[in-house]
Amino acid sequence: MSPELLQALEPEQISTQRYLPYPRRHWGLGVQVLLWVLRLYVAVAVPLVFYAFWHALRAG
Amino acid sequence: MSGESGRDAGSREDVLRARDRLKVHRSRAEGRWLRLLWLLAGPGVLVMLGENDGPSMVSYATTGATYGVGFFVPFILLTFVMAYLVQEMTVRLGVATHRGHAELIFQRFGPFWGYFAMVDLVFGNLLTLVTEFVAIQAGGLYFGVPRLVSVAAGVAIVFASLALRRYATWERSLLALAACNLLFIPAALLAHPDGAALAQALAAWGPLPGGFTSGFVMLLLANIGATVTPWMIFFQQSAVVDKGLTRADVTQGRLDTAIGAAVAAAAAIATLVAAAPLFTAHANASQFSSGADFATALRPFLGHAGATLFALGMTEAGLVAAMTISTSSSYALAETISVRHSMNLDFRAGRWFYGAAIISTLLAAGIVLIPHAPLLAMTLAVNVIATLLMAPALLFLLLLVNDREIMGGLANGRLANVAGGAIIIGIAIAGAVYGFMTVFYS
Repeated sequence: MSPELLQALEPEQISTQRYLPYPRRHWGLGVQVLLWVLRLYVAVAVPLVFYAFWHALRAG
Repeated sequence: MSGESGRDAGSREDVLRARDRLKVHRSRAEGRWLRLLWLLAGPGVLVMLGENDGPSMVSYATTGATYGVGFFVPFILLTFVMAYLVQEMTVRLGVATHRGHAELIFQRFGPFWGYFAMVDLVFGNLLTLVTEFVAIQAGGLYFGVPRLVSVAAGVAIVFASLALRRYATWERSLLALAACNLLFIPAALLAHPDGAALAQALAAWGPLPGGFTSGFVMLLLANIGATVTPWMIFFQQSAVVDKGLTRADVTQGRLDTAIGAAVAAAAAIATLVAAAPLFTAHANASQFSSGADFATALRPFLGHAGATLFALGMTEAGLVAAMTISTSSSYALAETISVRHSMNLDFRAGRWFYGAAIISTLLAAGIVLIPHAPLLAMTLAVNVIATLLMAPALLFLLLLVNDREIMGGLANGRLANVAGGAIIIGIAIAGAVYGFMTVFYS
């Protein structure tokens, strides 16, 4: 790639940089509690999705 | 997989993106602001018109046929304002991090939430794709095209768009096709709408025939669900990154999203207005299951031309959504498993990326063509998945946009958090209620 073309991209837009992962964030207590509440919500919601599908299948 | 070869500064992906950025830099330097907006617009308009998909347009038509021109006209406008506020956050996330939404969730929250978000999205998208091909085949049947032909044509168009292997060309092609969403506006004009009734609806949020019933609540929640869905968040952020928007382009990114919201709201309201004659004629909207059913029922009111425009609009809605939603799955899958993801890749480098769209499109089209396939059950499951799982998607969005380590100065301020937080809580609660009501009320 020509230097002029390369300069059109910001350094962090170039593939070598863009595909580097960010480090995992250590969240505070409040967010961690929120994520556990979300786990409980998901534990209820996912079976509900399967129930809805099964119920609709039976209803034809 | 993260160590794939070719991730150098001279890769095809970088060269093509750099060419696009060069045009942006030149336009900005020359002060050509309209051209700059033209070059930077795309993801916002596409995401908003993509969400005006087959099932959403049927939902708006059902609303018009059930309640006429009244409460739902300003309500639809309000839902698109909410959609703008949610999607604007994805623009900021994209330009600040140059990462897609799925990879940010994976990297910042860990593999559990990363895989959960991806599997949830890809599975939900697959079922949604089924409903889009249902819309395409229903539109085809209106014009006398056999099911197999219209579905095969839909698949061919999706594959042709992927074969472009160039983000800018792909985006402009989709924008041209998505412009057909505006076909609902002349269809609405052919319904000879009462301007005074429209003005009164906007000013007074009424009338609301039948009052506050459970059916009204369902339609209210369905309209919210038709405006903000998880795939939109993932798609727009990934598209903003793939297009190469930077912090300098935030204003144009916001304008792009606002224009998209305004155009999509106009098309949604036009659909409602076009279907309103069915309300006046006391037609039973529950007997219409597809856009083609509505087009046929509207022929006496809109004429042949109006009904044809309506059916074409419904077909286009399914087609554009099939293209954007399959791409959303591609981005999410490739980002989560950490392989290259861009519409600028060739097939070899982007085999996982393109493979996800190709396989999900083929699966969805195949399911639609299976005789006696449980399509109604799938449509119901789509609604439940999208609405129940909207809450986690919105929560991650809000947490990420407040993550100052990656957002810097583009993180949410106090006002944005109050407004955005209220909207997110409202949409999440509405989605959860709709999901539970769909399961137990139906």
